[in-house]
Amino acid sequence: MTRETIRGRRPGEVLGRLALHAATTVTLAYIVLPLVLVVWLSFMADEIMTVPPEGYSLRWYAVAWGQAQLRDGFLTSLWVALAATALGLLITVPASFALARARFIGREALLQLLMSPLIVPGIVIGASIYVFLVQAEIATGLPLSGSSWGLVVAHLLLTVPWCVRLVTANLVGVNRSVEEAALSLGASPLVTALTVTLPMIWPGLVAAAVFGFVVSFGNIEVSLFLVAPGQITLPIAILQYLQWKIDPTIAAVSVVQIALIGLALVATSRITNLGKVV
Amino acid sequence: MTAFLTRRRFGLMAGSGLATLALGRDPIRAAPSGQVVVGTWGGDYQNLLQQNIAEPILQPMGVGVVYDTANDSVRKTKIMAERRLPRGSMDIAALTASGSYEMFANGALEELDEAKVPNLKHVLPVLRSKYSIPHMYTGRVILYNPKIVKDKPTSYADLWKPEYAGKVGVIDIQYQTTIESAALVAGGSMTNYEPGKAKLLALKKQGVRIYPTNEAMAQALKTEECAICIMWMARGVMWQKAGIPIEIAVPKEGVVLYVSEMAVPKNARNKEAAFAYLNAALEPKPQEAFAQKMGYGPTVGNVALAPDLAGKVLLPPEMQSEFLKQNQDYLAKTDASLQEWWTKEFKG
Repeated sequence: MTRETIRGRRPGEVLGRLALHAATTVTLAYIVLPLVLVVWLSFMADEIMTVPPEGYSLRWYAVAWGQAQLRDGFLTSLWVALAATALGLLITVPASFALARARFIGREALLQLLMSPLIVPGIVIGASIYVFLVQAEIATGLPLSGSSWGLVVAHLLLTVPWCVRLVTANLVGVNRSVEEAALSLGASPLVTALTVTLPMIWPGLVAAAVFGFVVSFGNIEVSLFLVAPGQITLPIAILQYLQWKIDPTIAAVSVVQIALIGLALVATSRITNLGKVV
Repeated sequence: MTAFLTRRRFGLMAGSGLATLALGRDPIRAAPSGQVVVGTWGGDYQNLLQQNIAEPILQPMGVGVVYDTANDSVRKTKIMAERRLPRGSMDIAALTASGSYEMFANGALEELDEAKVPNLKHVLPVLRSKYSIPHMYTGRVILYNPKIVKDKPTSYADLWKPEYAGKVGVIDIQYQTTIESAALVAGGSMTNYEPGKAKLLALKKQGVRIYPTNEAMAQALKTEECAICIMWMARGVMWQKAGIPIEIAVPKEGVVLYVSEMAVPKNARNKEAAFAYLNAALEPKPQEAFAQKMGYGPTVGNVALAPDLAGKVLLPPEMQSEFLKQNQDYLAKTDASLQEWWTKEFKG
């Protein structure tokens, strides 16, 4: 059986439909246009963007590949984002259980505390953690400032709010009677959480991991003060490249980054139906 | 025996022994070794440091080089925050001239001399300071598009010519140097930027274009939206290489220098290697490489550039005796008010 759409033919309805299409197109274009421009720029042969371009070339991709700082930056960003995401989930999943299930004094305050990194500017978070590490080093003599873990701890603050919000929202939507059935059949609360609840909120966990990873991977402000000597993250490497050059190499790097993140989102969406979660 | 070794005599012996130890340290400086952490800008600058200083000079000495890559504002903040640490995170900090002045004024930098950095003796006198080495320099000039600006400019005042109205550009982040250049043609000086303000408001009335960054200016010059601007000569050379249709003109008011420097924080972990690094940075070969690749002038007198390269990166010899240096004391006091005026009055 096919569903028939009955479309109004009155001028007002036609006009309304046109307005809707126009608004949708403009909004989508607004979102997609920067990406299209970056991709276009990455293939231009000119060192400085000219419209129309004098030719097209793949050479900026080769230049990007030849830049050790960009390659190293990519690897550092990758492991820092993975570590921050994994630690973020380890902290926020139990916290989300408490926030979604328990009623206790200070619950709202705790939720706001976990969300608070979102309202503090990244540069303030980075500088504050750096100054804290220096003060801690002065007090204890331990070599804390300039260690890679300072960067991971700072990025943890970026992933926590996303993880808390997404996991909590999913937990609230879980049908409690399924958990109660497991408990009444003799499963302990821990076994119930691990074998019943977590599989039910799996899409939320994946979404939390993806968003946490993306936020951490692309962050620059928090990282500025915290990268250890010998380390560089991709966004910092990009910023530093631009200090001396204005050719489209950075556009080529961005296209690779967009493609990787885009692929990750599409793959995740296929596995978990992200559209239902976020 | 007791009569021989009196307390007075013992004191003299101990004192002279200490003095010998202290004096003996300099002639036999420990050979540099280990690892040196260079706080620097990244990108091409860091690549060139690696290719021309670390690999050919430091590595054969047995010194490994690690980079702490960031902008100089981050570096300054780190140096200040780490001042109380016995061991800081950087052995060398690449800073602008104003940055190293500020750090030295705050007591964070090691003093340098020819015993520590022998190549300091080759440094051009105008660029010398007691707390940093000048690594490379360039001068502020006028860039213009000869297709639109027919007569080669000779003075900053040419930017105010009515025929160029609407084609003159300034750069937002260069507010300090722009006010300074205007001051130089309006009766001001390197210690009095005030007259530049009224002069710039006149330029605003004529329809000046304000670009946010150097990159945006490059773009505007390329598209010929802007035809004349004030810029660093090295950037001009770089932009010419990138195919932007510009020529370089030297203003008769004098050439103000931009100096990129390197300094050693007092709490550097490996000072011997840091001094060796600074010395290597002043060697003729790396100096020539930076001139070749980045368009900056060598800061030492013992490097002979090929004539065509010298023509591009060095200012005319007659101008070299008239280099102007920014007065860091004056700028430290006035920078905040200059920025405020720029934002509220000029851009507003």
